Amino acid sequence: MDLNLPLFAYGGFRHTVEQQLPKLNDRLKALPYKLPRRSDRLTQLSLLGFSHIPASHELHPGTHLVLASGDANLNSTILNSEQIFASGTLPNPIGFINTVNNSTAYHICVTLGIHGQAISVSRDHCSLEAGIQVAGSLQHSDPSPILLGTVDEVPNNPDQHRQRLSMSPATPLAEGSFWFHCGHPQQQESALATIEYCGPIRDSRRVADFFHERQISHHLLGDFFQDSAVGDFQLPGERLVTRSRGHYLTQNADYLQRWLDGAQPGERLGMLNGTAGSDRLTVTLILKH
Amino acid sequence: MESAKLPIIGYACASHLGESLSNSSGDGGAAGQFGPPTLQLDSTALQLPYYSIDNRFDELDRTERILFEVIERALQRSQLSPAEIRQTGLFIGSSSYDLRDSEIDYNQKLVAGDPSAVPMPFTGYNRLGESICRRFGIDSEPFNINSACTSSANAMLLAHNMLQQGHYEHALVVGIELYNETTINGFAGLQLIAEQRIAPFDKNRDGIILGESCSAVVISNAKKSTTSLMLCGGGSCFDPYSITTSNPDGSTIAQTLENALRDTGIGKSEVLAIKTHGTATYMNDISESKGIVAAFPDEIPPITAIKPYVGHTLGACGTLELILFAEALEQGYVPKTPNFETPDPELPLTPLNEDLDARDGVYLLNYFGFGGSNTVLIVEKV
Repeated sequence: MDLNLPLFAYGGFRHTVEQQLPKLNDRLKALPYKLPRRSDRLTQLSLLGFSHIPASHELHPGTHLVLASGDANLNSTILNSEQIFASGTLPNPIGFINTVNNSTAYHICVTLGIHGQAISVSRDHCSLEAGIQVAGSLQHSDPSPILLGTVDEVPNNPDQHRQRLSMSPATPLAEGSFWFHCGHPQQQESALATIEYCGPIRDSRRVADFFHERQISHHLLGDFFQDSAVGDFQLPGERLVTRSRGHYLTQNADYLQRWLDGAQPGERLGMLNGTAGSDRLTVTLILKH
Repeated sequence: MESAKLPIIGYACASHLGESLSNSSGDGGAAGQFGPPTLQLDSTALQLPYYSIDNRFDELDRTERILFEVIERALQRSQLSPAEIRQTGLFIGSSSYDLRDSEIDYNQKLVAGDPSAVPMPFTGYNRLGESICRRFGIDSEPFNINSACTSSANAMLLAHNMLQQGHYEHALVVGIELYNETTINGFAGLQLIAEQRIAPFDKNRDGIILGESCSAVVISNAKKSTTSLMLCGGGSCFDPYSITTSNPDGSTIAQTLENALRDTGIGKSEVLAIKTHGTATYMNDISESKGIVAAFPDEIPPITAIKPYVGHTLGACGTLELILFAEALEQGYVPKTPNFETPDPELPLTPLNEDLDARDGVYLLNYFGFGGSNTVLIVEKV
């Protein structure tokens, strides 16, 4: 899908999870806004990630929110499931409401004081890409700025989560949140980069030709393709080596932001990503200004 | 850019009533005639009313079986070729997706004392989407929208926008919300479940009754078959008032209605009737009725509600209620609101007590959800 989605600012954070979930309290206390009561870890991670965007306090009130997450409110859903099936009790009402994915979107919008549309979208490892496509569509239907965020959490009891994912006990996990101001500027700022394309390619042999045509300078294979045949593809441009430090569904947002940090004007990144259960490749092209 | 009118070229659904409101029994006017059977929950020993499709809740393949049957019918009716289906955009709205599969796996292992039992063994929201793509040969990537009770309505709106912008020629929009104990027990914990019936806008309302459904709508940029319904687009609005209710002064709902009419270029006088969200909670009734009155100060169109027939199907109600409403329009009537008996003096309007002849023209469909999500879809009977 051809897009012309300008990026005006970005920021985010992540951390690796070993045996215990890292505490967020000290970081949350340092945030410049009042934290929502009754919010869960996913909301807290989102707000921590958002706070890393430069000038993030200057938001147009009509700003839209597109929140992309692979597993969304997994921890709240796990707690509900345990209460029902292991304890035979009704879920805590607030805990139940937090199982609804857009409860996170609600808390973010209220905390940041924005009241455009709030859309929660998910697509496994390609949740960032789904969010990009939704933002690209929203950009054309409304002139307000867009906040595009990605977030994924590690549920409490990381060891149990490794068991859930059939991972060995020593495997590091990661959680975090990454954000982009996009679509239309908050003030009059100029774009740092443009997302030019985001869409599927079923025939993997076409990817190299596509990258040649679009004159990419770098290409990035998402963590999803580690140890897969896609890693053997001969692709144009310099290959960026990504080193996953944990199972993290929206990790490409992290990699994209790191590339933006170091890219020169005119350089173009081609990101390849995929989802479980599909042989489809998702390609995203980003031009640095 | 003014919104385009896109033909709905196929639809199908599975619900408590099948595919038609006319399958409902009873005289429809009497209290309790539209109540569902009672369901016994083993996990928490609760007995609750529930509008189900069938009672095969413990089958691991139930979700895909129902899903595939419904999509198959919708695609057949659309007359899209396999090549066209391959390029079709896929938009799914749900608040629970395949959550029941996780519940079955977890509970079976718990009961068996299996140490590998973990809650939520199947994570993420993309499994159903990829299953649909594989089964029906769809090349595009699924959009999994989760905005609680507006999920599939928002999926419809996103699909409409993407078709209009030329990203796809056709779109398959799926709303699915099947039986799962997390949702039922969660609503029981919120004390929102009625004892016997859903009676929106009635003074003696008692709350909601949940239901399950799976529904699929095919929208197109090109008229492929005999089309009787067009999707004109719609609008949405975020409500910061509360995570569980719309602002009771009706202002956000009025704004959502105004946005939908503005974005579609449709005048208020063109609206022939409104399908309300109509959950039969006090907060919904008060905010929705005030919102409608504020948006239509001169003349309020007739209003009705679908949930008394099939229950509140949460994230799936966007597509299900559109289909059932469209089917009724095709049959020539705007359906009445069952179970309405006693006007509420606090509310400035009352719903239809009798079916109304359906004329060609514009109809609004309201959807509101947890998390401040309000959406209005607009359709035109042609």
